[in-house]
Amino acid sequence: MSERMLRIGSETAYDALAESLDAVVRLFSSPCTLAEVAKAQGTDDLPALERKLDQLVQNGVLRRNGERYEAAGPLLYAGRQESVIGIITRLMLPSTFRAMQQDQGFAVQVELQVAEHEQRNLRQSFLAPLTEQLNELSDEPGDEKVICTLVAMGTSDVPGPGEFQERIIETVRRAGRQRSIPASADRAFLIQADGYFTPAAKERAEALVRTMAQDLKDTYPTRPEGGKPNYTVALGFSVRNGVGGTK
Amino acid sequence: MDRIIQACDRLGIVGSRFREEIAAQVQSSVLARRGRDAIRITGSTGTGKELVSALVHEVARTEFGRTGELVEINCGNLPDSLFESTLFGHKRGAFTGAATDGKGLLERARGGTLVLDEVQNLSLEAQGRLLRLIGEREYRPVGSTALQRTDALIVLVSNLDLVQLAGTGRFRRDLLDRAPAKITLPPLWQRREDVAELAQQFALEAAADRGWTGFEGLTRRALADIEGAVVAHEESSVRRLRELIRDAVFAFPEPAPVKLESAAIERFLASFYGANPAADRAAWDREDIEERFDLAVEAQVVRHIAGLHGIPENTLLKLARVLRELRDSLQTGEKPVPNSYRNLMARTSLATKAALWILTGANNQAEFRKFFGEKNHEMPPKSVAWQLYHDVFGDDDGKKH
Repeated sequence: MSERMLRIGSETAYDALAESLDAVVRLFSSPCTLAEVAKAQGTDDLPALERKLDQLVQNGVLRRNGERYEAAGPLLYAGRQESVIGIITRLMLPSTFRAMQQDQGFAVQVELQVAEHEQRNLRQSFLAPLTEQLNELSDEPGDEKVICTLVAMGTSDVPGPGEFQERIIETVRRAGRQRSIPASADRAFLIQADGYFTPAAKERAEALVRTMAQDLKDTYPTRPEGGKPNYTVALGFSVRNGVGGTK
Repeated sequence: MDRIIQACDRLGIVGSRFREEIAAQVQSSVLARRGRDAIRITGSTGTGKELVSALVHEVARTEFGRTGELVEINCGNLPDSLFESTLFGHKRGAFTGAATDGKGLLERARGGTLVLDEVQNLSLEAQGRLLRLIGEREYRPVGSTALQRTDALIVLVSNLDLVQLAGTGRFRRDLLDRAPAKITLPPLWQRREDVAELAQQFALEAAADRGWTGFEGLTRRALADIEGAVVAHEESSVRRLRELIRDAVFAFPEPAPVKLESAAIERFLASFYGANPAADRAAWDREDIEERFDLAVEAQVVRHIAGLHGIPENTLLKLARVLRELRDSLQTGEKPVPNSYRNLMARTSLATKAALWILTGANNQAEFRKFFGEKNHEMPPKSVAWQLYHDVFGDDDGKKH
C-alpha cells in the first residue's frame, strides 16, 4: 500500500476510528472544528466525540491546530483489529446492502479465471490502484460533499449460480471465511474504503468502479469452453445516509 | 415480557440473550401458572441460578402483589436431622434442647418465596418429607400434630439435571412430578452474544473498584478473543468469566488505560483456558462466521424492512429469532410444536415473512407479494400468519401494530 498512508497501530485507536468513522472521513477531506465534525458524525455529544478525536490525535492519525482538527496525512489504513464477523456485521453487510439498493448505490460482480499467484497479488494489482484513484477523486475540493463507501471482496471460493443479490451476500460470507483460513487467507480480500466526494467526483468514482470491474474481467476472462471461474470479485459503491446515488 | 425485563434491570441481570430467554421461561413457569406451581431451576455452576431465583421472587412480588420475603436455604449444608425443624419449625419439647416453639423458614417465607438450593443433595428421605409440602402446600412442624398451610412460592434449585438423577434413582420422581414448572439456564458458551456484554460490564466494574476514571472498557479485539476462548473452551460459568476479567484489570500496571487491549488479557486466557489467541483466532473466526453470518444477514434484512415500514426493529428481530427457534425445535423434536406452525416452520424465511406480512400491514397477498417478490404458491394463508403472530406475542403485543 501507499507510503502516504497512515496506519492505525493500537487497538484503542482502531476502536476510536470505528466509533467516529464519519467524522474521520470528513476530516480527511479538510480541517474542521469540533462542531463541524459533530455534524458529519450526526451527534450532539461533543465531549464524547472530542474524547475519540483526541485519542486519534494521540495515535498520530489526526492533528489539532487550535480549534481545528485535521488529518495527519492524505490516506488512512486500518487493518482489522476485531473478529471477522465483527467487521462483517458492522461494516461489510450494511455497506453491501446499501450498495444493492438502487437509490443508494450499485453493486457489480465478475467471475474470473486467475492463477493462484495472481490471486495473491490482487491487493496490489487491483485494489491499491482502485483505492488510490478513489482517494484522488475524494481530494477534489468543493461544497456539498457526501460520504461514499466502496466495499470490495474477492475469493477463490466461488459461489454457485444464484440470484444476483444472494450471490453477493454469499461472496461476503465466503471471502470472510477464507480470510480466516491461514493457508488460503492471502487469496481472499474483504475491504471497505470511505471517502468524501463532491457530486461530480462521486459520478466519476462510480464510473471508475465499473470500469475497473470490467478491466478485471477483461484481464482474467473465463475461457469460453469448459472454463469454470476460479475466482470472483464483487464491488459495491454507495452513498452513506441514503443521499444521492445513481444506478 | 417487558415487565420481566424491567425486573431484570432492577436486579442488574446483564446479557441480552440471557434476559430474553429467561424472561420467556419466567413467563411460562411463573406468570402463566399464576405462581401456583413449584418451580425447578436447573443450571450448571455459575450460570446465574441465584439471580434467577431472585427474579422469580421479584416477578411474583410485582405481578401478584406478594409482600413476603425471599428466604433461601442451602440443602447441601443441612444434615437430615436438622432439615425438618429448619424448614418446618418445631414445638417445644419436640427434641432435646427445644425449650420453646421454633419457627421454620416456611413461616418466614409466608407470602414470599422459599428457595431450596442444591436440592439434589437432599437424602431420599428428606425429599420424601417435601412431597406433601410441594404437592399439597401443607407441612407439619416437628412435634406438632396439626398440619399448617403455606402460600410461599417454592423454588427447587439444582446444578444437576434432576430428570437424569430421577432416572438413576438419586432423586424422587414423584417429587419431580410435583414441581412441573421448569427454568433451565443455558451455559455461558451457548449464548455467545452475551459474552462481550458481560465482559465489558465486569471490566467497567473492576475499573471502578480500582478507582480508574475515563476507562472505556475492553477493545473490540480483546472482546473477540474473550468470546472466542469462552466458546471454544465451553466455559459455562459467568462467575469464572468475571474472575478472569477482574484478574486482568487488577494486574494492569498504572496509569489507567483508556481501554484494556488484547495483550493485557492474553496471559489470563492462557491460564484459565490454555488458549493462545494469536494462534487460535483464525479458528475462532471461522466458527463465528458459520454460526452468526446468517443472523447478521437477517438483522440487515430486518433493519431494511423496519426502516421502510416504520416498524420497531427489535420487535422484528425478536420475532425472527422466536420463529427460528421454533423451527429448530420442530426439526430436533426437542419439544412439540403446534400443528399450526408445521407448514410455516419447515422454512424459516417463509415463516418470518408470514409474520412480517402482519407487521407490514399488507392487506392481501398481492400487496404482500409486491413487497417481498414472492410467488403465489409460496405464500402461507394469512389466517395462519395471524395465529402464529398471536401465539408468539400474545394479543397485547398484536394490538400494538
